[in-house]
Amino acid sequence: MSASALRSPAAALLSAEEVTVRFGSRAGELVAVDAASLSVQPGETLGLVGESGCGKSTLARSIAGLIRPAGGRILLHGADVTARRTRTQRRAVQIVFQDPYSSLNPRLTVRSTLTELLRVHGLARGSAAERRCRELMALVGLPTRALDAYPNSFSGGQRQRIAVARALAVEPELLVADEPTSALDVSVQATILALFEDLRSQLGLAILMISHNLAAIRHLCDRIAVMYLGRIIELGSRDEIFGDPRHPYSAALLAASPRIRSATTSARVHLAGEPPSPAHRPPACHFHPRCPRAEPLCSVERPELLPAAGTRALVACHFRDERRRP
Amino acid sequence: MIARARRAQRLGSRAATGGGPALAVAGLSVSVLRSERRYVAVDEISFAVGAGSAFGLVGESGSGKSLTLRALISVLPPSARVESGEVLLHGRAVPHTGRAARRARRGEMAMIFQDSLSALDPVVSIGAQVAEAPRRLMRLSRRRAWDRALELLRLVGLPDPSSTAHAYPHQISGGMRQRIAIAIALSTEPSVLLCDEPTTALDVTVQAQILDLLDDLRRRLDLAIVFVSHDLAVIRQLCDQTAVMYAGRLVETGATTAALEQPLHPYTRGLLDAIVDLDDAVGAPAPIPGSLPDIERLPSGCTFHPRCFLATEECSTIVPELRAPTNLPETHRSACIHRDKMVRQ
Amino acid sequence: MSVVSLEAELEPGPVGRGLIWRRARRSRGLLAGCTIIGLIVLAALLAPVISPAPPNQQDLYHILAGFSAKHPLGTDELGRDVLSRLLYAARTDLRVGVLAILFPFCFGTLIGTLAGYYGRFVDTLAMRVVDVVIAFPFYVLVIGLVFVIGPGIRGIYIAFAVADWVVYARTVRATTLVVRESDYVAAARAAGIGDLRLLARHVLPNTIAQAIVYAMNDIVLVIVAVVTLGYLGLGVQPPTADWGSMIGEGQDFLTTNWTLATIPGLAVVVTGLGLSLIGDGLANVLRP
Repeated sequence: MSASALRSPAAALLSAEEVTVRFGSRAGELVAVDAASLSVQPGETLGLVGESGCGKSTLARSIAGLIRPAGGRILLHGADVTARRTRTQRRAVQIVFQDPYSSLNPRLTVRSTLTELLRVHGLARGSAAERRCRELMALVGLPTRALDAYPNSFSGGQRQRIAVARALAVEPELLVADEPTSALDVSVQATILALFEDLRSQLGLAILMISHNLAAIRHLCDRIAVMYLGRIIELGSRDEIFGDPRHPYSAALLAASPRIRSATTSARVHLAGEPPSPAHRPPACHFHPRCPRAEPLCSVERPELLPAAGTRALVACHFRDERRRP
Repeated sequence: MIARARRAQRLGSRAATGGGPALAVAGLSVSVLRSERRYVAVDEISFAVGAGSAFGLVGESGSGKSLTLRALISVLPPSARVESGEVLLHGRAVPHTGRAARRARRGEMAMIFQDSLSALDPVVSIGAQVAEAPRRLMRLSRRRAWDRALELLRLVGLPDPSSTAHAYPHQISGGMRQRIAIAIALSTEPSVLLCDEPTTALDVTVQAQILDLLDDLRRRLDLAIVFVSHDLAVIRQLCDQTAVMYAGRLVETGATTAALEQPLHPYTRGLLDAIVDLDDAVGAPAPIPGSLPDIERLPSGCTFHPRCFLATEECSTIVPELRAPTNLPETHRSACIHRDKMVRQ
Repeated sequence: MSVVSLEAELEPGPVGRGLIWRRARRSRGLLAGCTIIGLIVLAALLAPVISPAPPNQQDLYHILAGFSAKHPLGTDELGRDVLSRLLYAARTDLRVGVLAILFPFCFGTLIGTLAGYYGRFVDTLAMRVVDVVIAFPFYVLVIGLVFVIGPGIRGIYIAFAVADWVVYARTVRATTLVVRESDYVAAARAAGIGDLRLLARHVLPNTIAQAIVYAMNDIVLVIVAVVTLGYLGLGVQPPTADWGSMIGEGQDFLTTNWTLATIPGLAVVVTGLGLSLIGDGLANVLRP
C-alpha cells in the first residue's frame, strides 16, 4: 500500500509511488532507493532524513527530474513525469544543492544566470526581465548590485541565496533543498532556514528538505519521512516523529542526536555498528542486525509501511504499535 | 629495556608537575601569509587542560581554532608561523618548530583529524600503521608491536581486531577508520589528545559512538583532550571546559554548562540563538546580523562589535580582556566590557 | 523579510571579470610572454617596412657576407639579406603556426565535448578513433602525410588537421566529464535548459580554458614541426623564407658562417619561450 493512497491523490502536488532507483556497475547492481512512496501537498514542507547511504539525495534528485527511476512513478499534479518532463513541467520542481561553492556556474554573472532562465521559459525579456531579477534579489535578501557580480565574489551563505533565487526564477511550486545548510557556518545556517520560512509564508512554496540535521528538520517541516538503506521506514507529522517515534531506528536517531542543553547519559542506548553499504543490504528488514528490538521474524519477513495503533504515522516495523522509550 | 626506561622517564616527568595541567597555552599568537602580507589569525590565546579533562574549542570558520591545534602540535602550514607565546607540556615549555619540537611532543601529544581516510596510508595495512609507533618509537619487536596494535584496536572498540588489522583503509567504513585513527594516535601513549572536528563528517549514530569512545578513553587513560568543533551540541556531550573563539580571540571561557546555559558574551548568546536544537521550542532561529570578518579586514577594538547587540562607542576602540564579571569567580570569563550586563538577565 | 534583509554587505573585492584582468596584470610570466610575442608579431607586421632588402633578392657578388651596415645580420649563400629573410620568415611561421592549429582546436574541442557529455556510444566511437590516431607517432604521421600530399604549406595544414586534433579531444573530454557532474549543470538541466544551450553556456566556458592553454603550446609545436619539415625539405618551399629552411640551408656553413643557422634557430627558441610563458600564464589566470 503506498503512502499516497492515504491522501486524495488529486490534491497532491507531487507524489512518488514505489520509486526505485538502481545504479549499475561492473561489481553488480546497487539499489539506492527501494520502492519509496511519498507525497507533497501544495504549500507543505516535507522533511527527508536519514544517514549516509539511505538514498535520500537520490530520491530527491529523482523527484527533481535529474535521475530516472528504474521502477515506480512520479506524478506531478496527477501527470506522469517519470520518464520525461516538458519544459513547463520542469518549472514546477526546482532544486537547491548542498555545496554552494560548486552549484553556481563560475563563468556567468548572477544576472546572466537568472535572465537565461527567464528567457528560456519565455517568462520575461528586456526591462521586464531586469525588474524580475531585482525582485528575486529582494526575495532572497541580497542587494541589487549582486546581479553584476560573479559567484566567486560571494560567501557560502550568499551563494546559497543566489542558488535559491535561481530556483525561484522559474516560479516553481516545489523546492527541493538537498542539505542546504550542511556546508555553511552555524550562524549562517539560521539565515538560510529563515529564508525558507519566509518563502513558505510569502509564496506558499512547498518544500522538500533533505537533511541529516534533525533539529533543522524539526523547525521547518510539517511532515517527515525517515529513510534507511533505500526504504522509507517511518512517515509522519512532526509531532508524531519527534514525540512518539515508533520505528527503533527513528528512536535511535533521535537519541543519538546531541543537544546543547543536556548531555547524553550512558542510559541512552546507542546503536552498535554502522549503516551497511547499500551494496550489501541485510535481508527482510534491513535494520534488523543493529536493531535493539529485533526478533527472528525480522530477518525473514519484510515489514510494510503501515499505520500504527494510536498514531497516524506509517511505520515499517513489525512492532510498530509499541511506544519507544524517549 | 630502553623503551621501558623512556616510559618511566616520561611518566616521571608527568608526575613531577604534580597536579598541574597536562597542557597549558600562554599568549599564543599565530600569523598567516596572505597576498604577501602577514595577518594575525590567532591572537594571544591562553588556556589550560588538566589530565583526564576534555577542553572544547568552539568557533566558526576563520576563527582560528584549527590553526591553534596545529600550532600546538607543530604542524602549521608553511604560510603560518607562531609569533609569540608558550606551549607547556606538564609545566615544561616546548619549542614551536624544528626537530626539538617534534621530539618534545613525541609520546606526549597526538592528534586526530576530520578526514580519517586521508589520514591513513592507503597502501599499508591497518595493523602495520597502528604498529608503526610501537615498532619505531618504543623499539618493540615486529611480533610484540603487532600484538600491541591488536590491543589498541580492541581498546578503541573494533569488534574483530585481527581481521581488521589485515585489511586496508579503503575497505573499512568511516566510523571504523576514525577509531583506527584514534588507535594510531594512542599508540604513542600520549597524555594529550588533540581532536580537529573528528566527528563532523560522520553520521549522527556513528558520531555518538565515537564521542562515547573518546569519553571512555579520557577516563580510562587519564587523557587531556582538546576538542575543536563548530558544533555546540557535540562539545556539550564531551567537554567539561569550553572556550569560544571568534576572529582569532577567545571571547568566553568556562565550564561548558555555564558557558552554554548562561553565556557571558554576546557572540555565544548569538550562536545559541542562531542554532537549532532538538530541545528548543519549534520556531525559526534568529541569525546573527552581519557576517564573519575576513582576517585582512578585522574591525578595530572588539572584533565582534559590528554585529553585537550590546555594542557601544567604546567597543570599537577598546580590546576587551578575558575576565569574570564583577564579584564572580574567575572560573567563567568573558572578553566583553559589558559582561556584567550579560550575567543572568 | 526583516530577518532576511539583515544580510551583510558584498565582498568589496573585484567583481568577477575584473578578477581575471587583475590576475592577468599581476602575472609576470604572462606579461613577459605577451611582450615577447608582441614584439615578434610587430616585427613580422613591419617586415616590409624595416627590412633592409627584399627577402628573395639575390646578390651573388656579396654572398656569405658578415655583419655590416647594409646587411645587419649578413647575407646567406645566395646573397640574400638574413635580417629580411628572418622577418619575413616570422610572418610565414607565425601565420602557419596559428592557422594550423585552428582546425584541430575547433574539431578536437567539439569531439571532446560531445564524447564527454553524452558518453556511451558517442564516447566509445570517438575515443577509439582517437586511439587509432594517437597510435601513430606524431612526427611519423605528419611527415608521412606531407610526403603523400606533397610538400608545401597546404600539406602542412592538412597533416596537422589529421594528427593534432586528438589531444584537444582527450583534454576537453576529461574536463567535460568532470563538469558534467557538477551541480550547476544539474541545476540547469532541472530548470529545463536544453542540451545545446547547456553545452554552449555552462559546459564549454568551463572546459575550454585547458584547451586554450594547450593551444598556446601547440603553436610552438607546430612552428617546430614546420621548422623540422623545412629542414627536411618538406615544409615551406623555396624561395619563401621560413626559419626551418634557413636552418637547413645554413647547416652547411656551420663552421664558417655559424650565424646563418643559429640566428633563425634562436628566433624559434625565443618565440617558443614567449608562447610557453603565455600558456603557463593563462593557465594560472583562467583557473576558476
